[in-house]
Amino acid sequence: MYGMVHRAIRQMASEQLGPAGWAIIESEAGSGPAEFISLCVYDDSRTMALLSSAARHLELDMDDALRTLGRYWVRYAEQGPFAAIMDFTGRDLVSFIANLDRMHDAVRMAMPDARVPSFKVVEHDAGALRVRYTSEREGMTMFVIGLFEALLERTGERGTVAPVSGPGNAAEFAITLDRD
Amino acid sequence: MPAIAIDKRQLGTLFPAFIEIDRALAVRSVGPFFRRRKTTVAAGALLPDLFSLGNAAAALAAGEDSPAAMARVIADLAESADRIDLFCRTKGIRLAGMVVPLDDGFMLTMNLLPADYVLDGQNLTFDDFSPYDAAAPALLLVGMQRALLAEARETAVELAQAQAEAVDLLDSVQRLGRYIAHDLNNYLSIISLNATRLGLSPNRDDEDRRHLAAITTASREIADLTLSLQRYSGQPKTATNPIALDEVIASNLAFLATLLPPSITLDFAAGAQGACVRTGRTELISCLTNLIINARDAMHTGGSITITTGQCGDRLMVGVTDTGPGMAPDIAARAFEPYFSSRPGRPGLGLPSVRDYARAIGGEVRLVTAPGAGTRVELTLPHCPAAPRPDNAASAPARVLVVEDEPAALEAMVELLQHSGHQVTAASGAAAAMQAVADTEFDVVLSDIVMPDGSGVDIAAQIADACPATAIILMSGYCPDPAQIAPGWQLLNKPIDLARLDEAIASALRAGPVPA
Repeated sequence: MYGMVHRAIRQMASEQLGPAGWAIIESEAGSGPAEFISLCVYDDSRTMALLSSAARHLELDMDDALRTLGRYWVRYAEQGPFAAIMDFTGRDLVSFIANLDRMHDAVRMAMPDARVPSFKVVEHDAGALRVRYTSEREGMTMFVIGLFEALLERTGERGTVAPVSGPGNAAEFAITLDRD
Repeated sequence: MPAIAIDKRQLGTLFPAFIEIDRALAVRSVGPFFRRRKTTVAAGALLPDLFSLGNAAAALAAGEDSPAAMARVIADLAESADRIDLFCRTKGIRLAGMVVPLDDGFMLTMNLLPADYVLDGQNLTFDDFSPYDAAAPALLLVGMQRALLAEARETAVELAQAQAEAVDLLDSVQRLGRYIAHDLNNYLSIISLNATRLGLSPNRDDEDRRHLAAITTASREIADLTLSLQRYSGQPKTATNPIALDEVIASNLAFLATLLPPSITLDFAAGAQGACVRTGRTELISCLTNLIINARDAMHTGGSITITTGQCGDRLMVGVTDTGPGMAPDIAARAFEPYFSSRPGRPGLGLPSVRDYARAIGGEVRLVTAPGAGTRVELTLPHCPAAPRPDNAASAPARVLVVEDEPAALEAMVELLQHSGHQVTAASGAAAAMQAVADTEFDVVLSDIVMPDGSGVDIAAQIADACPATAIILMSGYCPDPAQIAPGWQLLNKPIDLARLDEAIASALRAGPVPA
């Protein structure tokens, strides 16, 4: 994945375990400072090595670690240099998700090696939306759930996220909004 | 040309900031950009109260900022394909578009014109732009690049800090290494000298002598390791002794095998029996470790690794051959390039460090590989004659002052030098040494350098001033500053054995006093 994801993992783990805890994770994963350059695209195995080591020390199984990272990723992006981009992408949940592909187009232009996912809002009404997720990567379901959960919070919504099967077994997520 | 029918929803998609006005410039309806933001740009408001004309449109108004001028310009532009620019009077919003005449008014097909391509502070979103407006992705791309650059700057600072920490860490480790080397050398001196003392005692049987030989051999090997430690501790010019290539590899084969999983075997075909190379044994084993790890990482499904040695004229050969998949020519061509690795996540320093090692001792390395044919890394190293066992150098009996703060070393040196026929005075530190020099004249002063109550270098300097005829030999497990050793003085690196001690004294007496 990208250096910025590695940076998010580092910040997430460091906040809970401190610099010494992170140093152990980095050492176990065989990583060094050169793997935290935002513009660089790293082999996914490097990202997974970092995350699985962090998961062990945070006492999370891998599914929970991915979901936690998905939630944290939104927080990380909205607090750092990417804050303006998050705001530009959309202020309400539907707009934000609907504009993610346009935002990822910019990522791809800035980082030609990036393999970005696609999100399409296939249905939505006042109480729910259904999002189709397409990615070259497998095993990211829990990360996407965490991502949507954090977006609910960011846009002042409450609700639940569940993976569902779309047409032809396409990965889809049902987001049910809890609006009074 | 037929009229084109377009509804307000479509119009709002194409021109999110459209403004429909009547001929009196009163706003009738607005696009979603204004509706979402709940601005004052709403039905009933007057356009001249909200906006001023910009760019070319302002020129058409001939500098007059009045509702009448704006009405005239809009009517003129409705007859042309020229652009109209509007500047919001209260916020930093700029709009650009065309004026389309309607039966009873005008449609201003406006889009946002970002003031600059900085996202921060503009409070804009994708939805403020038409999906077909290139300004939105351009704005986002610039924003993305700015964000990535901001993170890159942070990373550059982090890398610089990491580098500084690594330098500090290396410095600490080197200091620790020098401290350990110093103490090890002192203790080895005590072991070596006392083993010699025991050997010189009468009534030793064969078993005693065998035990003493084992102690002496082990001490010598530890001394070689200590030399390696000194080189790794920032003293790269520390002398090396010749080591027997096959013996060193054979004695470390069990250690090297621990690097491998059960699916990979390690064999050694020794072919350089008795041949020596001048290098540290740690450096040689470290070099082989790098090669074996490289071979291991190339053989995911197991295989075998063979170390071979041989001799050809004045060159020794060490080869490490694996039965792995071999390398493609483009990979092999870059194999010795620092930081290049065909395996993700590897630092790519193994083979470059092997080449650096080989070249540092006057050798070279080459790679023989092909896809499907395994890989062989072959080092050629200069052959070196084995270190001669120093003979006990016969020297005339001399008056020798020995200054050493380690009692066990002092006692052993005194006894051994007396055994060699010298007249020996012992001093357990700097103060005792100066007292002895005041009382007696010496041919040779043999002094440790680092002592609790003073430096051997200072003692030597005072004696050299007072008694220029006295030969100076300094001893140290670690000499912090070799530049302190004055011309004509000898520096004897610890660990010390009797043969080197006798040779140093004989040499000092042969050389005579240093000319003033």
